[in-house]
Amino acid sequence: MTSLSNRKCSHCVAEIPKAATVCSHCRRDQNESWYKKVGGARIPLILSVLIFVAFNYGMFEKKYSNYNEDFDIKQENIISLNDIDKRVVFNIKNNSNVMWKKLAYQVITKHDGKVIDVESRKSNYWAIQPHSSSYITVETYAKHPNTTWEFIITDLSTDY
Amino acid sequence: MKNKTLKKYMNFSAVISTLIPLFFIAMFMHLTGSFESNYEEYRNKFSIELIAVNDIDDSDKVTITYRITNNSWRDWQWINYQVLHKNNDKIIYSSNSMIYDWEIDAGEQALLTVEVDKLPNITAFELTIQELKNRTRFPL
Repeated sequence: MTSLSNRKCSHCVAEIPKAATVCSHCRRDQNESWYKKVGGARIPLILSVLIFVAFNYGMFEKKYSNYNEDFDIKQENIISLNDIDKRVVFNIKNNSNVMWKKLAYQVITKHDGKVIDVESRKSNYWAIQPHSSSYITVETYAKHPNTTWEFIITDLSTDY
Repeated sequence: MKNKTLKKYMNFSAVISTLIPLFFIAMFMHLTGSFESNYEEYRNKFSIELIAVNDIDDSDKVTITYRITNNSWRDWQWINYQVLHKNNDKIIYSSNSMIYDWEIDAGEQALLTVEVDKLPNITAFELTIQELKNRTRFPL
């Protein structure tokens, strides 16, 4: 039993005088900071592992699917290269407060409203600043006079 | 003498145990980009002037040279840009690219030469800087 003038060492549980700052048995400091008591050296290690895992799973990345309503797309111009080949310029407006990069998109070719072709493409160097406009030019074709094109963003990234 | 050395060691270990979490917090902030400035905030500090358009011999390409002035106090690198090919006010073509080793110092000018397709009826080439990365002084 511990007497009134003694207490137990916080490390080896041996009986030591209440006023002792160092344990006479294990020589450990009795006034250690909270950081040392919880095994301070392990905290940065655990933190860095958690951060590494969070980065690998993309927890700090923004997902385009949460922002797709912040984009306006409009057909800017159609240039006929010959009877069939066309070049279509689309204007993309980013109304979000996020900078986006790496555009993945689909161009849906329609004839009289019917889908006749869908092409999926990616532009790795494409980027757009928050609250601004950017352009993308698509090389496509039109075998019929009533051909129209629909542009859909399938994905954007916040990092290269 | 022995006690003095022990005291010195304990002080040193207290400093280290305080610095280690601070270091990890700083590393975390660096990884999340807290020390990087965003080009968007400095966009209006840049001016772009077209200085030359040259045909490349035996090629369907042209080179366009711009002079870019950085009126901000930061150094920048790694340019991501868009070139719009215009016929009067109409956009005929757009192209995007990136030059990783392009650099511009604070308050300085730098030339940027880009190679684009030679298209008919083009009256203007408009360059837009989409992104620049600031040159960080944090050595990680």
